[in-house]
Amino acid sequence: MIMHSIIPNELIFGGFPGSIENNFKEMEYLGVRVQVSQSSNNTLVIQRVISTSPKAYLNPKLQPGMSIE
Amino acid sequence: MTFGKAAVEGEQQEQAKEQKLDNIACIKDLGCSTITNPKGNIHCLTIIGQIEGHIVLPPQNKTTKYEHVIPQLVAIEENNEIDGLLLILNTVGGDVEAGLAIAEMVASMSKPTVSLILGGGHSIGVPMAVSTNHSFIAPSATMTIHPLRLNGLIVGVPQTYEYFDKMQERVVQFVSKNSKITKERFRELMLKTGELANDVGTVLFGEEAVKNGIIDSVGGLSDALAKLYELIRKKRESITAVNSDGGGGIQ
Repeated sequence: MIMHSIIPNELIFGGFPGSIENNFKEMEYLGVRVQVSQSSNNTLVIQRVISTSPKAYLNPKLQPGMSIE
Repeated sequence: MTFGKAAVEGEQQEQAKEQKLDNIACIKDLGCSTITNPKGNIHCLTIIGQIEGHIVLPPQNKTTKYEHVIPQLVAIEENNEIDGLLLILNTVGGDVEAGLAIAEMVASMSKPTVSLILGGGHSIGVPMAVSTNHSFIAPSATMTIHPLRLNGLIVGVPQTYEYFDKMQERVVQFVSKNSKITKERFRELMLKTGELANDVGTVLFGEEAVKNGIIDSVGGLSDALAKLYELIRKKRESITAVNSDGGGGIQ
């Protein structure tokens, strides 16, 4: 892989403990692809909307931080 | 007697109201975009942070993943309800192959496309910025043009340089093909000394990027949207012109 970036490679790959385990996962919600994380009380919280439709970003139910029942 | 007329009007109003409620319900419940804008429906793709390609980057990087972007581009090209694409870039670069893949996808789309660089469109962000029909850059945005680097083990032979040059040529060729800058001038900017602290290359501000012919114009969101709607209108007009031609002529 060739990186072509203004960020030095040591910053991109540095301080990396060797595991990319995080509790993010992707799912479809209300017909839109979202990245969610598991919160402490076992609900899913929206972290990021992955869509090109501007309307998906206007939907209050899809705002980052909203929980999914 | 106005009873009958009023009743019809009342019914029409009721229908219009119902339609509006249906539309709102559709957005709220399904996130669908069936409401049509007479100027054309646009979709917006944001390219932010690092472009992530074949290797998953460590979590401290904010990334745009090509496995998200490529199917979205296919969906935009395929969906009859979408008339144009606005590409918003604020990227520090990333994987060459992934960046070029996205750029080639956008360049080969048949629907009108407009890009807008805000903040930065560096390194591999340059081919992505020029891949659209028309490109805009915010006056305060910058573009860094510099040579590729290779990480990992490098064999100290002249062939390594040749290989580098070949990889770089892909970027140079794409940019010169999709913008007004010549290959020679782009290479010159790429290898310029005295501009960057620890690298060769050039930092271009909005105005300079336009002057060098990489980007078409300096502008903001409203300029980019106005241009996109203009391209959509022109495309619709050309389709109508072809259709009213009878469609039976020699193409």
